Amino acid sequence: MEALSLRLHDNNELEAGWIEAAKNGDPEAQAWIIDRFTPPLFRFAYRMLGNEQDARDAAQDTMVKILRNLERYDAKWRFTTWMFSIARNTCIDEHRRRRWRSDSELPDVADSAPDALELTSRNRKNEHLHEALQSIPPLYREVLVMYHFEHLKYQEIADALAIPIGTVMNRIFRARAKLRDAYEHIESRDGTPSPATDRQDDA
Amino acid sequence: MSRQHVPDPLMQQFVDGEVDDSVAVAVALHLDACPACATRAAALEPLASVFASSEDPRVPVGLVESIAVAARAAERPGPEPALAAGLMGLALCLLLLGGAPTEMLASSATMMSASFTVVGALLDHTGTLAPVWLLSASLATGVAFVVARNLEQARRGRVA
Repeated sequence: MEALSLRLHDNNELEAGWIEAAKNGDPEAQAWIIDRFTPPLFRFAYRMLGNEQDARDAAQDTMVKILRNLERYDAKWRFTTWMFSIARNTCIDEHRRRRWRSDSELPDVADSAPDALELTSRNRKNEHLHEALQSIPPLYREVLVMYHFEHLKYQEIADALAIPIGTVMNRIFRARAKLRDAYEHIESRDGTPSPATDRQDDA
Repeated sequence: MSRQHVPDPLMQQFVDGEVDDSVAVAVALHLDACPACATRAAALEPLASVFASSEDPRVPVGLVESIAVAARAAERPGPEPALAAGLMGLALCLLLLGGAPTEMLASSATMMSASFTVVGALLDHTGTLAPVWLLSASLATGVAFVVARNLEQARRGRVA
């Protein structure tokens, strides 16, 4: 555990060094930031928006905003907390754009089932979780994605969303309930047992 | 709460969202600082096995490279300097077409304002302040024309 914490400390030091250099306009440091943080940005955007193309656009927009506004980054925050606060706003804008465009032009991802090719390349649980996640409102989706998938702490989520931690907790509790209901509905629709049922059986 | 681990019954109530707000916040802050309790809480989640087996979406090939290209393109000045230069050209035309000393004065003021805008926009490589420069150019142009009109009306009044 001590070795792990030392390694994390070293990583944080390394990260802080690159970010400081990027702030000063070092192209190599900016390339490091793009390389290091594009994957979590894409993952976050994909889970928020539900499809690859929108996630690509949102990840790109977010990264450009990050590099443009690096001088505003306050090192008292974790970089990823600041990054996800920007990513979240970008995804909200993308949602608004999507609503503004005609519904017929762009199908709602919550209603779009994965095609057969996708189902063969991913496991069924994963697909159902993705579908359930897309079916709950973005307000709840974002806290779940930040906590369960990107492993932000509760306080970091509060910082990223600029809301009190009590509000974060309320949203997370409601979000988990909504996700569980959605997931169980999808599982029962497809005739498979739900994890909640599994848990009761285990007990 | 921060020094003691969360008891099992309370942890289950927390995961199920059945605790008061103040208790929920206290437990949440403890979990933030205590990986052991955070792991226990995660295991109690009804969807724990689903979360554990979930796969991250694959990052598309070439995304990092395309973002690097987009970031470099964003560093270059946008069309704002060109717009500011256009404003300056407009002021120059007014200056040439005008004739009365007051109009020339106002046009000169517009030109100077637009010049500052061009310099500012060129120095602002990131384009972050582009809206500010555009706003200042518009305001400067507007103020200069109002001044010109007032001066011209005053001159005509004196002549009459």
